Order: sequence, then structure tokens, then C-alpha cells
Amino acid sequence: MSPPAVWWATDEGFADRVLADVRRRFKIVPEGRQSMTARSFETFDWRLWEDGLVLARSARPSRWVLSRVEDRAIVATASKPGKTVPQKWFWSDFPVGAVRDRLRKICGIRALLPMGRFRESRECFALCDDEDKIVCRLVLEKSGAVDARGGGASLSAAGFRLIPLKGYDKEARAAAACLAQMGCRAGDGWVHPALHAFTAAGREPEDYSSKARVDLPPQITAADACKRIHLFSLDIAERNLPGIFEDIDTEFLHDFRVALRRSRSALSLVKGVFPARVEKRFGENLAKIQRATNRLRDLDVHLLERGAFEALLPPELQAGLDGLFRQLEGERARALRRCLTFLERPATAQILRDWRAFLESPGESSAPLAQDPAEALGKRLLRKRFRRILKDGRAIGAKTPDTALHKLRLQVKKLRYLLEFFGSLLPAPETASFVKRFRRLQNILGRFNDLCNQEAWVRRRLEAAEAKSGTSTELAASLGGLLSELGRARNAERAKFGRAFTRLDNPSVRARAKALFGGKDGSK
Amino acid sequence: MKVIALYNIKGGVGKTAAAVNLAYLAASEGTRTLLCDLDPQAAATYYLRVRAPKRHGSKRLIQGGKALDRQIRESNFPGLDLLPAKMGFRNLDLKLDARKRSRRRLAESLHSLTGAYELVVIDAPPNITLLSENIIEAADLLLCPVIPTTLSLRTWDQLDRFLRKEKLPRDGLRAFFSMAERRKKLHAATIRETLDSDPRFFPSVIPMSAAVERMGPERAPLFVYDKRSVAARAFRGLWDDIQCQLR
Ligand SMILES: Nc1ncnc2c1ncn2[C@@H]1O[C@H](COP(=O)(O)OP(=O)(O)OP(=O)(O)O)[C@@H](O)[C@H]1O
Ligand SMILES: [Mg+2]
Repeated sequence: MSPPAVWWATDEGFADRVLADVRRRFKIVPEGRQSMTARSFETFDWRLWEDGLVLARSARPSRWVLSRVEDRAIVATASKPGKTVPQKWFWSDFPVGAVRDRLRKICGIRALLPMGRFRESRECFALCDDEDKIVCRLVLEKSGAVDARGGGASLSAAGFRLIPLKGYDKEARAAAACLAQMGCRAGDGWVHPALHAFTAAGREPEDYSSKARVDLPPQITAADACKRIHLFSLDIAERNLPGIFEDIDTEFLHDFRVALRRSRSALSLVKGVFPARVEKRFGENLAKIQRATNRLRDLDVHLLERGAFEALLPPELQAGLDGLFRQLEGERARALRRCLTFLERPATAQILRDWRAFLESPGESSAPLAQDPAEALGKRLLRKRFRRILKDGRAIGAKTPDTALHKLRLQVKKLRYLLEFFGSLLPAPETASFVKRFRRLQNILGRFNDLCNQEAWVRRRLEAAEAKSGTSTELAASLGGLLSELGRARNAERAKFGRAFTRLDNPSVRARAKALFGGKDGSK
Repeated sequence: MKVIALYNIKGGVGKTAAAVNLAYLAASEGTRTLLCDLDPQAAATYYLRVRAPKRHGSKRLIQGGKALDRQIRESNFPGLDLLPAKMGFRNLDLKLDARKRSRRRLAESLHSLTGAYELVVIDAPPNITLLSENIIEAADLLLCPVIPTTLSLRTWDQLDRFLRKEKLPRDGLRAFFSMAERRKKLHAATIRETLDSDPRFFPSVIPMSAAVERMGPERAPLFVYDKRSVAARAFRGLWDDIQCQLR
């Protein structure tokens, strides 16, 4: 067994103490010292950190370093492209190589934002036997935050990294024993240097996530539960606003809209918990905000589809799309301006302020279901929704029009929302396995819907192009090609529906639903 | 994984010097390299300051896998590992003889290291034994240092004839001139004539040099203490020639 790689301590003189102790067993040969200042980068929603990684750009040597949170070990490095230094980076801005590959998988369409700076120094010591053969290395690592003006880094957090050499396990264990004896602790607890930077930038790992994770206490009333659910969504919506204004990446608007939609669904699915005029007023107001973002989101989606569209077409038809996407970029710039103008209005901010004020007010509501236990209410709604899904799904056959599938998708989505709202009041493992049962159907219905939307959009574009004289035949050919490919894909997706639905509509899932939500099992 | 073996029937021609320096160069370029010291004199092991493990011998060498891996020592230089030599290797011939397919044993054993290393450099002992035959079988490149003298060239011919007679692989057989003294007219002429007539000789020539001799007292590859010497440059040239060949 090899000893732990990282050893740390918090008191002042531990490094000297350790080296003095090591010197009694080994000859110590200093191999040099490096120090560097680096800027850390993360996505707004901590995708790298969640994957156990930290990305930093060091100045000298000038490069990108991807390292592990757990033990700071370097996973991959990339050279820094020289010329311009943008404020935000996407994976595609990185030089071809391991760093870029990892970032593409982990960050996807999210931008990497600068998140503060830190300073780090590494001093390497080789431990040798009496023939001057190196048998182990110790690296003394120190780190600290750099403030905005670039100064003030006291290298506070420190520890040793023990680097064993192959074939010298005994010596590595002896060095580890010295570290332990001199009061160093192994493993967890040694902060990654980037944490200093995060703190200096006012952030904390995983302080934002778009995932709905409302934790409700068991005895909570329906009104209190709903207030928490809405507050959770409102927080998410508001935290995304700055990113929308700066137009950092498309996910800010996306998360903002999902949060609004979640709240609107809660208002319409869980009736009778708030006063009717509250339900009406905020339902309408939130819808108004969402509508103002529709156009921008549609354009974002189409621009993001570019790669997928090109993949559907043979190379000779791809050229026609260039002009189309250039045009879309222009349309998006206008849509962004219009959307931001709306969001900037005092009236818009007022809606969100009023909504928050209502949700944070302690007053007891007189609405009919306000004081009901949330658990019973949630189960009742889930039961109803599940039954509805079974009924609608069974009615779908090969000849049923597409609209029936779209409606079913919305029903399934509502069920998912209800599970997100009330899930914490249900037993966790059973809920998770029930949700799993839905995933395939949900994916199929989602893709089917996307394909229908894409097809409709491409058709509109084609008609518009044909109506306008002087349109390039190249574009028309590309769009025509896309239409037939999309139609093929849509049919393929629809063909999968039957099988996926039987994964839900069977005795075992119905029994599971009954156990979770109570009441009848909906089999009739 | 490629295997280069430094081999010559004749002793003292610069096999070990070449094995250590070429392995060092490969590793310094980022190639994960294992230097196998299969000569019981253990000169390469000495140059890298490694002490051979106590329980180490011929059995583990031909077993391959974990048993072999456990004998490997990381050197002082990044990317370069060493399989140390041991007097125990003297008995290797006997051990090999007792097994079937006894010529392929080393190749099979080294094969178990694929994945861990991209390059294996073997420093072979100067003789013709069953172990040498195993080394010849295992090598993608059988590299023979030749001193530019008539006698040395004769052993090179003998080696070629031996391989042919024993039906050992000859495709990978290459040579280079070692310990060459350009000022000696005879050396210069021999080099010129051979390079013109025998395409198996690499163009780079390693000169006789005090810098190479210092590997003994320094106990380090040449590049660690005198990377700018003429000999260092010659080894770099030879390494380039070899890489072209391996590609
Ligand atoms: N290019 C050179 N210039 C000067 N001296 C050299 C050169 N190459 C090797 N030597 C010296 O010659 C001696 C033999 O060299 P080396 O050990 O490399 O040869 P070898 O073929 O491995 O010998 P052996 O057959 O004994 O294993 C050593 O003392 C070495 O320092
Ligand atoms: Mg030798």
C-alpha cells in the first residue's frame, strides 16, 4: 500500500520540523522552487468542481492547468493562446488537446468565467540514499489569495506532497511516517489553492445549481410548502439575471426561464393554496416576463442547433446554411436588445419584488387548502396526474395525430414538476426509481417535440425564402434537405413511443405509484 | 512498445554508454522508457546509482507480469525506469533451457510491460548465449556499436552470419560507429567506406571522448553533466537516426 499523497498542517514551523526529521533518515537535495500566480475559471454552475476539477490559468509559465480538487494533482495542461484574452472562455477557445477535450465534455455550452486569483509556491526536495539515488520526493506547497489589486497574497495554507518513486515503497512509507510524526495530517482538509480565489471573488463551490432541490419538513402545510418552492425558483431566476444582461452564455436565460416556468406550473397545478387573486396576478405577471424572453430563447436554440443541422446534411448542402445562421445572429442581437429593455423596466423588477414580498410574508392564508398538510395534497395531485398520463397514453396509437403526443409530453412534464416540488416528502429511493421509469419516455417525447419544432421552423424559413425573390438556391436546397432528414428522424422517434410507454403502463409501475402516492392504482 | 537492444559479441565497444544515453534522451523527450540491464556486470545499473533488489534474479525476469514489474526501479530522471542487473542472471541460460520455446521467453515476458512503457532499451552482455538469442528475438532494433577497425568489422560480419545460420531475425539489425577517432587515418577511411557500402550503418558516429568516459566517476548519463559536448551532440544525432528507423 502506498502512503497518502498529500499531507498538511496549519501551524507555522511545521515545514522546518518535518525536513529536520526527514534529514535524520535521508540526504535532502533541494531541486528548486517555483511560484506562480494563477486565475481560476469556472462555469457559473460549478460544473468543473462537481466533476472534481479546477481550471486555472497561470501567468509564468503561461499555461492552463486542469487539476484535481481532491489532491491538487495535475490532470492536463494546455498552452495559452497568445493574442487576445477574452473575459469568458468556451471550450472551443482552448488549444486542441486534453484540456479542451475534458472541458468540452464537462462544460458543454457553458462559458468559463474568471473567479479570482491565487498565488502558489512549490519547493521540491529530493530524498536520497547514501549513493545519491533519489528514493522519494517531497514538495512543499503553499498558497493564498491575491486581492483585486494584485497584491496581498500571504501564503497561508501549506502542506507537503509526497511523490513516491516506483520500486521505493519502503522509503516512501518511511517519509510518510516522518510527516505523521511531525504532526501533519493526511488527505482531506487541505484546501485547493483555487478556493482562496473563489472566496476572494465572493463565491463558494456549488453555491448555485439549477437543479430543483427543495427540502420540505414532513409536517409542513401546503401554503408554507408552496412558498418555499416558489422562493427557491425565484432565487434561481434572480441569480441568473446578471448573466443574461452580460450575455455570457445561453444557459443563464435558459435557467431563468425554467425557474419561471416551474413557478407558473406550481401556480396552475396547485390551486387553492394561495388566495385566488394572488394566483391570478402572479400567474399572469410571470407569464408576461417569460413571453418577453421567448423570441431570444428561440433564436438561441436555433443557433445552438447549427452543429446538429450540419451533421444531418451532406457536405455539399452545408454551405447554404452559412447565410442563414449569419442572418440569425443579426436577429438574435436585436432580440437580445428588446429582451433586455423589457427586463430593465422598473415594472419588471417590481413584479419580482412584489412576488418575493408575498412569498416572504408570514401571514396565514385564508385560501381553502392553505392549511392542509403538503404531503397529502402532493400525493393527491401526483395520483391524479399519473392516472391522467396512463389514460392519455393508452389512447395513442399509430394513427393518432402528433398533437396527442405533445399533450402527453406536457402531462409528463407536470408530473415531473410535482415530483420536484413534493419529492422530499416521499421516500427517496422509491421516488428515484419511479422517476427513472419515466426517463426514457420523457426523452423520446422531448426529442419528438424538438424535431417537430425544428421541422416547422425550417419549413417557415423555406417558405419565407421562396417568397422572397433573389434568394440563393443554395439555401433552399439546404433547407429542403434538412426537412426530409428531420421528418425521417421524427418518424423514427415516434416509432419508439409504444415500447417506452409500456415501461410505465404495467402492473409493477402501477403498484409502485400506488405505494408512493396512495389511493387507487389507476389500473381501471 | 518498441524494443531496442544494444548488442555486440565483442566487449568494451560502447554498448552500455549508448544504452544509458539513448534511454535518457528518449525519456527526456517524454517517452516512457525502461532500461533493462541484462548484463551481470551491472554497469548501467551502476551508472544510474541503483542497488539491485535482494530477491531478484533470472526467474522473475522470464516470468514477466507483476513479478517482473516489482523489480523495476524509477531512476533519478523523469520518465526513465530501470530493471537492475543482478549476478543471478548468470544462471538465466540454464533456466531458459529448461523451458519450451526457450528463445521467445524474454520477448513474451517484456510483452507484459506494454502499456507501462513505450520504449524498452536493453543493455546486453557481450557473448553468444541462449540469453543473447532471447534478446535478439525480442528486439525490434538490434543495434550494434562497432569500433571503426578491421577486427571490429569482422565481428559485425560474424554476427550477421550467426543470425543467418541460426535463422534469427535480421530485419532489425543495424550498426553505428562507436569510439571513433577521426584523426586516425584508418578510422576515417573505414568509416567512409563502410557508410558508403553498408546501408545498415546509421550515419551518426559516436567519437572517442573524455566526456563519455566521465560517466563512470559521475555516475550519470552524459547529458546530466556535459550536454554540450561533441559526444552529446553525436548521441542526439544517433537518437534522431534511430527514431527515423523505428517509424
Ligand atoms: N565514446 C567513448 N569515448 C570514450 N570512452 C568510451 C566511449 N564509449 C565508452 N567508453 C568507455 O569505454 C569503456 C567501455 O564502454 P562500455 O561499458 O559502454 O562498453 P560495453 O560495450 O558496454 O562494454 P562491456 O562489453 O564490458 O559491457 C568504458 O570505460 C566507457 O567509459
Ligand atoms: Mg556493458
